[in-house]
Amino acid sequence: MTIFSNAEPAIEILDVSKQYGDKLAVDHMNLIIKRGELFAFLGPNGAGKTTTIKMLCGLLFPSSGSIKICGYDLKTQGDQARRLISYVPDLPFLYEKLTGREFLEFIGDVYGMQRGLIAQKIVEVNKLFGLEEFIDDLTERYSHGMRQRMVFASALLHEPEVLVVDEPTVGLDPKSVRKLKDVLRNQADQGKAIFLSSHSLDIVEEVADRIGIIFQGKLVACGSLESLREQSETGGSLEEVFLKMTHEKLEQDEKL
Amino acid sequence: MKSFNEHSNLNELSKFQEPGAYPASGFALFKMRMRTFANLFAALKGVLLIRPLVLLLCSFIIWGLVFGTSLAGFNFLKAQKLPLGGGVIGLLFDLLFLSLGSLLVLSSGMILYGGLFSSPETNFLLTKPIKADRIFAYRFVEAIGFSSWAFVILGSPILIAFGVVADSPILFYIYLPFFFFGYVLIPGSIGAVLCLLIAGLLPKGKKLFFSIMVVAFVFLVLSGMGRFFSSVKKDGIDREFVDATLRQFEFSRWSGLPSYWISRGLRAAGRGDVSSANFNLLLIWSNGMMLYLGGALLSKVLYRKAFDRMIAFGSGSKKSSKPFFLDRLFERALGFLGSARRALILKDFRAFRREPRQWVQVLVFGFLLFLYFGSVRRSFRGEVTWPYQNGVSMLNLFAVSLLQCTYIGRFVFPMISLEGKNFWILGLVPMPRESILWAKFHFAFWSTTPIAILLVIFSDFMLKMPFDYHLVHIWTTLVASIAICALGVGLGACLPNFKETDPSKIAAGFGGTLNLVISLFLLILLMGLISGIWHMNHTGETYSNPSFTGILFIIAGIASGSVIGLMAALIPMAMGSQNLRSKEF
Repeated sequence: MTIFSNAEPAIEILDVSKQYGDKLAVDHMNLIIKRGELFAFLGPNGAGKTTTIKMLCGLLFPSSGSIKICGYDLKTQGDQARRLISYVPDLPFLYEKLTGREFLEFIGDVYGMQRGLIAQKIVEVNKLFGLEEFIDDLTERYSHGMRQRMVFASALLHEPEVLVVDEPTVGLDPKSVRKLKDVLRNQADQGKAIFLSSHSLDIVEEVADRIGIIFQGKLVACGSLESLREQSETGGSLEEVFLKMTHEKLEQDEKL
Repeated sequence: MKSFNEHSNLNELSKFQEPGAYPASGFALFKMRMRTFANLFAALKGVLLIRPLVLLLCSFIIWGLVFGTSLAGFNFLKAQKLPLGGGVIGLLFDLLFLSLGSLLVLSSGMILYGGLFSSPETNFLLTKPIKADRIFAYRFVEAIGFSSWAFVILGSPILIAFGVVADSPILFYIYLPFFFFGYVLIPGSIGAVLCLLIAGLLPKGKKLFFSIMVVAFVFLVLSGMGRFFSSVKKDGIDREFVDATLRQFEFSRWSGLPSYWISRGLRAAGRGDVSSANFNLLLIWSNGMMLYLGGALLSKVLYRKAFDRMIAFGSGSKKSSKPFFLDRLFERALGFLGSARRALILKDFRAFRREPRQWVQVLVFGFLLFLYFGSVRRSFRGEVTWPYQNGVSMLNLFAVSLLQCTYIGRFVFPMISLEGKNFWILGLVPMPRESILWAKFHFAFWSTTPIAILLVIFSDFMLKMPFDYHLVHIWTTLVASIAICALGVGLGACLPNFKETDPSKIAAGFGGTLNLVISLFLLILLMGLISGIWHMNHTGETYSNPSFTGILFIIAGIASGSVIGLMAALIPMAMGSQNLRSKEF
């Protein structure tokens, strides 16, 4: 039986680079995310966010360096590591010819959960995300909001240690966004590590414990909102901090 | 904050298993697939069963046609006192299974490649704790299912016809499915292994690899054709020629080939020789399973790495700010169309030329037809007699249209479906929706018809056909092109599948099969009416003008064929337009 302690980091990104042909998408990134931490990952389009996320989920392997999830190296112990992760992509995938309940049961089966436990967890996520109205409908009939809620429910069904979320609020109504923020915060408070990638800076500002800014493959800033304000010598909103830091980095690179 | 262990349900969830042990994800995938099928069938209750019924009917018609032709063929051979259990039939079976097996390697490899490396479902599954070989197995079954149905539909009627004519015992028919399903494992696994090796080891050079394969294939076919024609030219068609030709295919009798095992096994079953049938059946199944295991083991080692390498190196990143000369050429050639319609056609053309998998096959088969037309006359001693010219020119005309028909079914029919979820972009362009269809029609027509007409002219020129034949054949090709292109585009709009991204699956689905069957019937009808009646009125020993009644028949044939062709073009286009107009996105 694996027992984890709070002292162990949930995500370790150690000197990770990823090369696409001639292009360096991620450049010697180092990052540790602890349990119970809600980490927000920001960056302009094409900065390397999606590549980093894909490496975190084990879809891609680093060209150099290593990524560990709760101590398991994703390259050499991928199956063990993936059991502890849940990934909610920006374009959620559902099996169109399964009902929501059947989809959740499938996820439970994939994670090797017992039948009774799956049924119990379905009741819980059903309540948490308000799925009862459509859980027994085929997912092909779902709206975007329903799909998003179902995907979140499936992501939390097996109680992952690490939740990787890519642009979760796109297309959601204000009530659903509020619910989502509460869920993410609650999960972090329960000791899970949340890796949130988003362009919605107001949401990040509200929920994140720590924020990382990636630009041209490099992690150019990392810390709490206050420390980022100090680093950027800006007292304003996260938007101002973000724009200033990415702009300054661009100017530095141009000078070089 | 509470400590982690207080909240974590790790113990309770028993995930919960020890590290190193894995959930029964293979069974979960199987169960999910079964549920999907069950829901699919449940959804059919209470709605029109037109789709599955038409699909079944189409399959049955194709099956019946192949069965009828095979039955007639085997009866002919029997009437010629050719022993059905003898070497000639054995060689024919060897060749049949070898060629079907080779096609299965190609088709299952290509479908698996799409399933393993470019499917949203695979992306989803790869983020789950499912072992790579389980995902491989799941995709393998799907690829085999898609690629082998044609093998079953084409192979089973031939073999059942053989069994009927050869008075085979009931045992033969019982053995058939076991041999079939065992056999498809072998080429399917070889295709899978090749697919994994190419993606894993040659992500950068896969285009080069495919180019080498195409060149090697063309070389093999050309050398085979060369040897065939040179032997015909030297000796003429006689017993010696037949023996010499059969000797050229001796390689298919090599006892190490799986096609040899199935051929021998089935013929043994046909004779009632149970021990030989069992031996060959076991040989096929054991080798098939061993090859599959090899593929599964390879996937365990290579699949995730190959997926990573395909994303890192697989897609071309060639940038070009200058317009490609072919694009400009195509655009200028369509200058008579409006700019909006031209832009739509150019979009399709660009997508087409950037996908070599699409045009390489057409290029290869077109080139082979060209070579065949160029050499068919020179291959025979002395002058070619008129009846031969008359018959071969008709067959050549049909071959060209058949190639065009296959191309339309495979590449043009899926075009509307492939617009997928982005169809709303086209739906919002400030032009009537039927213009989108007509743009696709123009693309299909102009990218195929000039080539088809050139091939027909070349064939007639090489056969020294009279000028009026040229005209009739060109008209036939033109009418058939319009009808087939419009049918492909119109039916594609009537039966779109916006959820599927793989064109081969769209072409192999309900709509694609229906389109292919209707196109084939239409082609036979148009060929028969416009050119067939013409040819039948010129069947004398030499070329001569037909009788008055014959001329009346010819005029009636050409007129009715042209009207049918036009109607066959307009009706599906109108239906497709109607469907698109009423579509909500």
